[in-house]
Amino acid sequence: MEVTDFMRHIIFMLLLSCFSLVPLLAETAWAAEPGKLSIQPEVLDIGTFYSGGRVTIEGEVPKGQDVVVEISGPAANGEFDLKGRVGPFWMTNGRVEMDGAPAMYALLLPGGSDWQKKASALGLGFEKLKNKIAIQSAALSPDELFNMFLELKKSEGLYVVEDNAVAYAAANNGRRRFTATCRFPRSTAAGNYTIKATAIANGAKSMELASSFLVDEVGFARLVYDLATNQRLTYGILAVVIALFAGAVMGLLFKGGRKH
Amino acid sequence: MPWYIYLPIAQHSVALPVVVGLGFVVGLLSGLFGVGGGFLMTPLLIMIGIPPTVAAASDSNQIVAASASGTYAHYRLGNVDFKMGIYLLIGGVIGGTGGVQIIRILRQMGNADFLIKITYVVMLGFVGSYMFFESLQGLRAHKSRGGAVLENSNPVSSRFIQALPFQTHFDKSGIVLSPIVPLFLGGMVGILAAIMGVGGGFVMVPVMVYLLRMPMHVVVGTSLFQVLFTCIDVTIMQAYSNRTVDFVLALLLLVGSTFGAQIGARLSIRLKEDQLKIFLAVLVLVVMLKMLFSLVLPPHTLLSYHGGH
Repeated sequence: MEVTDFMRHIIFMLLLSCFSLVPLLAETAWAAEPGKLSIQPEVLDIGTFYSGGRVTIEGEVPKGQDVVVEISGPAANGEFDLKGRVGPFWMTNGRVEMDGAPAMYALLLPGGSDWQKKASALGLGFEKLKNKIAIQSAALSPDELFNMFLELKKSEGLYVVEDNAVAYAAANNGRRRFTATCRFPRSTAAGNYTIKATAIANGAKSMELASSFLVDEVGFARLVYDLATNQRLTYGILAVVIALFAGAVMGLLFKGGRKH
Repeated sequence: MPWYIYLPIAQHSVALPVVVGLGFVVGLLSGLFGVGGGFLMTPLLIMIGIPPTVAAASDSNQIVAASASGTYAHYRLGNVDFKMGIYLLIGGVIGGTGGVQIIRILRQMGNADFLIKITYVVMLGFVGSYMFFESLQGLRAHKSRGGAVLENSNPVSSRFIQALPFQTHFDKSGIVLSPIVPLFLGGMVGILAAIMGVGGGFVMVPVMVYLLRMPMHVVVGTSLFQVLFTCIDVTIMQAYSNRTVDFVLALLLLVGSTFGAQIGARLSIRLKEDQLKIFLAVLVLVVMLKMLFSLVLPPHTLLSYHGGH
């Protein structure tokens, strides 16, 4: 009996130690090292029940400085269709090629004074993007096409500028800790993203912290996508077989069929 | 909103209750009116943000599931005219394969979505108007003398069909007909299946009844047989050529539509047929108008992703 009690005591102490260490470990992993960004979660998974995701970025800058965070996604499909009026209908009548346009772009700003103007003056935001993207089309000017591109991306929630998205903690040891939160929309593309935090002092850039971030299709969604892309015929036959099986199961459940 | 599901081919996250509910509503209408819901499913999917090419191809996949048990049931009852079905099927495979290639070429040109929408506008406009006026006539006939029998004779088309070569006897249907007719009809339905993602029953059944004069019980079984195999062909071809079949979407729609169809079939016994038909006709016309407006009103942005998302 004494041995059993001793074992119980040991197990209890071990469990207690483990649970006590969990928050400590989490805190250690979560805290940003000086000069580095800490991103949570480390990878954003697009799985079967993906509905967008929230990503938190933490870091430290010198005391008294402000922070603007930029997130840009992988280069998107460079080809776009341009609609025009053909008779009474709006249909595709031109092609636009864009190189260097990220699939997603988010500019996270602190609260307070007019940060959109300040960021723009520092070369951050959509104006800077326009200069980075090479637009080729005979139909319209690059400025007009860029504005249309912005409208398209904004309508999908993929290009955003967010005020009050950067918060600060109390300064400690001459460092100021910041936290920025970004909502990745449902239409986020998989790929490598770049996250850059720019520290601003007296209206000028003082330092930059950068890190890469992965958005990845995982599990069943990845399996289906890979199969449909790499084994097209197999996928087509499989889709039919699954449909026949599902139809048979439904038929058995309800003892009948219906017309189409 | 909770309960989202990610569609790997559409690359779009949708609310699960919306997709299953949409399948349910279309299934309910299908059960209520005894028509296939394919012609309503694709436009409604487009309205919730599914790319038109994916919506049409996945709907074909869903029809495979929805028509499988019905075809088997009619086969067991001996209601399938296999000779007619094979001719229709050969036409359907040729038409379906051609339709998939049309979509592929138009996708490269950037106008596949336009073709799908404009085809829907024309077909829904035609079907909706026909149903509306037919139901109105039915209501008037009921009011005047409690029902009327419409005589559907078209001597010009009948004479043309009888003049075609290779007249063959179709034992099960009890008719003599040139195989060119079912080959041509199957081809047309195959093209529609590829472009619109429909089974084509809404075209095939009236043609078989009024034009080919086939008995009703054989019409339903043979139409289902042709629809099933045409949609199998279209599903495989769309997956292979265009990578637009999202079977996750198809299965979700199937679950909703199967339950909806069962409830619709039970409700249909209690409700007045002509009034329901007018309601369906109005619904079809509203969907048609919504699609028409999306084609003629200036879009919110003139730029779109090449070849769909």
